[in-house]
Amino acid sequence: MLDYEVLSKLQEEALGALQAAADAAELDAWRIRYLGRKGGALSEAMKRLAVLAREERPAYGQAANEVKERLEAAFGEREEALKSANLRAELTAGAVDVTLPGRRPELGHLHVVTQTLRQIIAIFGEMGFQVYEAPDVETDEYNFGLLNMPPYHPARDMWDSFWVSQDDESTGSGERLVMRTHTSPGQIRVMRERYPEPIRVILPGKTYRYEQVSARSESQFTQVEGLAVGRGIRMTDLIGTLQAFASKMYAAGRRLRVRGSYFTFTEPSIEADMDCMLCGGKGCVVCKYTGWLEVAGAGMVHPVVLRNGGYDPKIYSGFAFGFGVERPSMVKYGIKDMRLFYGNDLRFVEQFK
Amino acid sequence: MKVPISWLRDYVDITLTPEALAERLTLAGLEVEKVIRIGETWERDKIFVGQVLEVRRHPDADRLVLARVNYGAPQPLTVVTGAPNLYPYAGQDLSNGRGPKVAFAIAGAQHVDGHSEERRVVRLKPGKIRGIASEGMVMSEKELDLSDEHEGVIILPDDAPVGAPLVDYLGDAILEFDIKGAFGYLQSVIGIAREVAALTGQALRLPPGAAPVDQKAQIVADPDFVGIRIDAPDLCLRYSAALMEGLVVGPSPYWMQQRLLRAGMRPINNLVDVTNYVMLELGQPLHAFDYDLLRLRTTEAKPAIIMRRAHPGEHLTTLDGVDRTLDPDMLLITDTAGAVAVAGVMGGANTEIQAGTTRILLEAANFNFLSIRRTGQLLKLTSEAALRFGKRVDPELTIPALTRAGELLRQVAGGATHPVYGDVYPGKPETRTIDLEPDYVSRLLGVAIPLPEIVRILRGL
Repeated sequence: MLDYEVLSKLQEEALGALQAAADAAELDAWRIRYLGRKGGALSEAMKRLAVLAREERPAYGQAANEVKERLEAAFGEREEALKSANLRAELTAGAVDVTLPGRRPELGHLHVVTQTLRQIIAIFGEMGFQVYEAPDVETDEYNFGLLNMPPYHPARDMWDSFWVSQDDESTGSGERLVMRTHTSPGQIRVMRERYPEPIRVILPGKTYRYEQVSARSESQFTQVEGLAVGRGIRMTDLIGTLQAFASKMYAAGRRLRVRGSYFTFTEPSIEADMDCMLCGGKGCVVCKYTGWLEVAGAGMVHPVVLRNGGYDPKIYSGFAFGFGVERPSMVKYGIKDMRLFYGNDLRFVEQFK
Repeated sequence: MKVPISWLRDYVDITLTPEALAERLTLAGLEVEKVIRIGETWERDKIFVGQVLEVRRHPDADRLVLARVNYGAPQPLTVVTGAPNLYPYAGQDLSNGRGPKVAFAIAGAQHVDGHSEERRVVRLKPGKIRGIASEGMVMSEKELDLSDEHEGVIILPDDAPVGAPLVDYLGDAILEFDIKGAFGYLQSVIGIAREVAALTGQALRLPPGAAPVDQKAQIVADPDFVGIRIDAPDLCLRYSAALMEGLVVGPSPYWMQQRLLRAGMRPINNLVDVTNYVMLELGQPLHAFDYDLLRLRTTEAKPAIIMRRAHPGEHLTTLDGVDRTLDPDMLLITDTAGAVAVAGVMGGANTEIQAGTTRILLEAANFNFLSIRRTGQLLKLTSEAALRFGKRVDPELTIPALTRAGELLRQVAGGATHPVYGDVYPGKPETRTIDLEPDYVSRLLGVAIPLPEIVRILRGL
């Protein structure tokens, strides 16, 4: 084969292969193969110069150089083309559609107990009751003693308590501390703070009992206490207040039933029930076929408790009531298990948006 | 606490149905948790009070007898029965009403199958047993759904009216109360009866001995049979004691056992049952010491009962067989030889009633209720007595309770009460007058209650 033919064949082959190189790695392989200084196809072709006749050398050399230049130029073009193709591909792949609407961040919402509590606070607010917050950890004296329950009093059996372990020197007083078993100790705190002003407050908050946790009872739950103290406050005021609350909270026109009861800090004491709003008092699953649902335990503030709060029972009288928040929510929303409230299960929580 | 309505009727007339009464009491603040019916399924036309006229041996079976039973119908019926407690009557002359009274079912009567392990309700089918026709059935407690007892048949008391539907004689409704607070007086049938009387406007009838006016015995601080000393008058407000002699221990009568069972207590023997019966009736816990065991503990001429705080580390084996270590804030009943009871909570095993006991020292005392509750909680020990003492018992009840117990022991154990009672009463409360302005009532309640109505309600209680 003639030397020039070899060169033109090489050029033809190389230009064809260059078009086939699809990415930077193939392009590099092509460059080494054809333009590589050692063993590249063109370097090999140059070696022919040594064996050619002197007069043929310039022409061959020039031809070879022209092939080399052509190939280098073609390589440069191809490299450019590939680079810009790559860039275009990259740009297309990573494209951001700036016209798309933004993603909405997830908003939290209030727990069903908080919702119910706020509803209760709003209803009593309309009736002129302020919210008063009392501590969760109480002294034995406030939780029991000042409410007419000395140590070992049988009424303490109504509550099994969580006692707070403490070292006597830290508190100084050496008094036993207890996680409050009810919101009633707040009654004493409000009275001592507000005396001799008339009082109309509700005291919402967590309460704690050392109880077996079950579908019906939890060791922590939320209570709302109500207290009204002043001149001429009567039990009929108490009953009217509870009736107004029941009608606003549950359904209009609730009838209230009052049963005699016993608490050490009220005298007389009552339990108030309302007719079941689901069956209208005929009896159904929700009211356990009694026709009645419990609204609150209540009564007229015991003279001893009034005195402990600083109010003279000869001049002042008062009423107090208390109820849990979880139980009525269970009735209202058909929740069958008390443990769900603090069970951290989002499937439960999300139902009350 | 469980209160059978049949027992309540001894003290107050009741016209309401058990459910209506339960509702009435609940609204008044005495919460009735449950009404338990006894004999609800006994058919009036199929289950009767019967009387056995004759018992013969079965010709072909050793363990069966034939009983001819009068149940008020013109013709008596003959039944085949395996009840062991009827065997002894075989061949006896049972004429002139000497035969035992039984619960008798005729064909078709619904009852619980006595032979089935699980509770199964069946109807009585007459049939032949070992070749002889059985036309009815004398019934066991299990067949009447009263208990699991199927060893023998029920033998009814002599006053059972033959031919009456059994449900009229033995049927009952039991009110189960949940009473909160320190109200010892509500832990008794009479306490509840008093509330029922006040609520329904009926008169209250007290049993003989239970009314304060009945006391005929001489009451002294230092009787000849026991010395009483109270070293801890802050914890022991009163200690009264009586001596009962000539007693014969045995089972108590059917009516008393039934009442104890229905009120939720187990019959033990006539002496213990009387103490429990009086406690249920009046609300005053009683404790019976074997008087001779008490005497044998010391060489003194008469036993000395001393109420004092426990010594550090002192211990006592209580009636339940547990050795208990006591602390110095616990009140003990002791003699000069040591402790005989944890006051108000449980007696000691060392002076317990025995099968051969003939004399008892009967204690009716009154203790500081918070102290009793503290002791019970620290010893993790509850008893019917501790429960009542822990809710504050009226100290005026001790002598009526001793009188009533003496009366009952005479009836059921053949004993006689020593005519002198010992009574030391350092904690006698002063009579207090409580001023209640009628005006205050209406001011506090917001409802005008007329003065005569206030007086009527308070009198009733």
